Amino acid sequence: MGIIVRSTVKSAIGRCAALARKFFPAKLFPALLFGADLLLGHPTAPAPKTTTIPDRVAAIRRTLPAAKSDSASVSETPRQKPDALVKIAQWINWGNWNNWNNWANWSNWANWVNWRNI
Amino acid sequence: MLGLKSLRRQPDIPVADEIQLLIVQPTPFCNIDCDYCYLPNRTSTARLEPATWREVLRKVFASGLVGDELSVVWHAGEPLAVPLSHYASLFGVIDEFATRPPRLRHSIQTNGMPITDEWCNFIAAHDIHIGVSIDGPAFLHDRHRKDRQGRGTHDRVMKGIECLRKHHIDFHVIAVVTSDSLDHADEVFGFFRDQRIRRVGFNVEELEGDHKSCSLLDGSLEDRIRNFWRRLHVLQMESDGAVCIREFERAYEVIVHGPPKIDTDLSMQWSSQLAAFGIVTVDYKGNVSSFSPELIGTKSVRYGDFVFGNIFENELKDLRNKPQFVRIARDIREGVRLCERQCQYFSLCGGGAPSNKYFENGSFATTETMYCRTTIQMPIDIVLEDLEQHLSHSPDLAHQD
Repeated sequence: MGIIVRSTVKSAIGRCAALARKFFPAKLFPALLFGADLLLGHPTAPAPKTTTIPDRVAAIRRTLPAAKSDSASVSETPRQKPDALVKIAQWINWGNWNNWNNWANWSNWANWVNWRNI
Repeated sequence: MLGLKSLRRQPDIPVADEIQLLIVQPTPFCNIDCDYCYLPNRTSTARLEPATWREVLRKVFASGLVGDELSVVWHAGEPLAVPLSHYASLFGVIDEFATRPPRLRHSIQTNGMPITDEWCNFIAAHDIHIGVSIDGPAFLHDRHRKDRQGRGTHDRVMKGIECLRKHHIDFHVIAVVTSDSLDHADEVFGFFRDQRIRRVGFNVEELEGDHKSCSLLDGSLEDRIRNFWRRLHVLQMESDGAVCIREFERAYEVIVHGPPKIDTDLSMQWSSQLAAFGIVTVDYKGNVSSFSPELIGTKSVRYGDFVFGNIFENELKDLRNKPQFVRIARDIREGVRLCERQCQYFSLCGGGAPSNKYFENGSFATTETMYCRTTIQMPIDIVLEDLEQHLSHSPDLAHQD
């Protein structure tokens, strides 16, 4: 029931947003929101982040090659590198520097665990 | 990764090149009675007979759907509730096929209680991968994982774990997260860390099969579930890798190494649950199902039965011509298409789990479920934030807003 109600509300909001976009040019939208804020007496809220999940993933992937080159030496001398890079190297297992987070081994060892209901 | 073959007669039904998992039910019986279990017929002591198992292997090997290696998961009841001597007979059947590929890799997820020295010797001799189900410390585990007398089982599970350790048998753990766990992330993580259990998968309680109510179904709990994950993530990082959590590992892997762009066809290659025969499930009677293994044993008004045939009566590949099979396969594909159109996480997820769509939304041709939100999206959100934070020195990320 909850799912139905939620999806109905989501759908209604989506339709309203689509209608609004149809009748108001995109550049007018922030001005309208600002005006609504003034009328309602609210302080203008900071602009919401519009970055989507795919955009964020793409940005991370663009950034990683630079970090990756640093992490090559992380694998040899982890203590000399910034914590952030060490952690990322741990996670992503580029250097497999401490052999604690061997994703490939984990997934190959039991790829069936990824079907989670067992 | 699966490959796909387009069929001439049903070009819109993707069929896996290879079976990724063969799920075999040695018995529906379970020696305990967890209140969140989704499996039906858990009091039946029926067993998979060697003749049935022989036919399963014969048909599977003859299907052309097997590569060099095949993962066999003994599941859908407590696998170790079957006597060791019976397993010896079943494994003896495998030896009849020993001169031919593939190599079988066996896996068992057990509640840990039946484990003995004899079982450990058998497990080691056959290189069986072991997972133990334990929900954390006793005060959480014993609320749900009880025997038929209503007694907690934690102490008996720990004895099984000690036995595995004595025999130097590596294992992972699967822990179910209920509403009781949500305020105890530190205790749950601390338990696994103190027990030196290095690999843990968390199954957020779901609405599935015979489990028709769920302590987490209330949408207002989702913030608490998110906070539970957040705390686990912090603890995992602080532990310096003492405990690896499957959901975060999977999220990191897919964010960093996932394909740059996927569509419905590609996503069908990702998940063994989506393409026909990626997973083949066989019950102790030889009944055959595919897609999500949780479907076997379920009756549906909408789809009829999820059993597509019997190993004694049908060739595996012929099952795809059955109308109910075609309908389910098409609906699953349509559900993935909808995910592609509507869900931001699609490229990282691939289209969800068919069983959750069916059990929560009533149809495979649907999109988001509670499982999506709590087990896929939340870990991805947390890992994304973590990576962004650690990479924030980069101009590329610093200016993305």
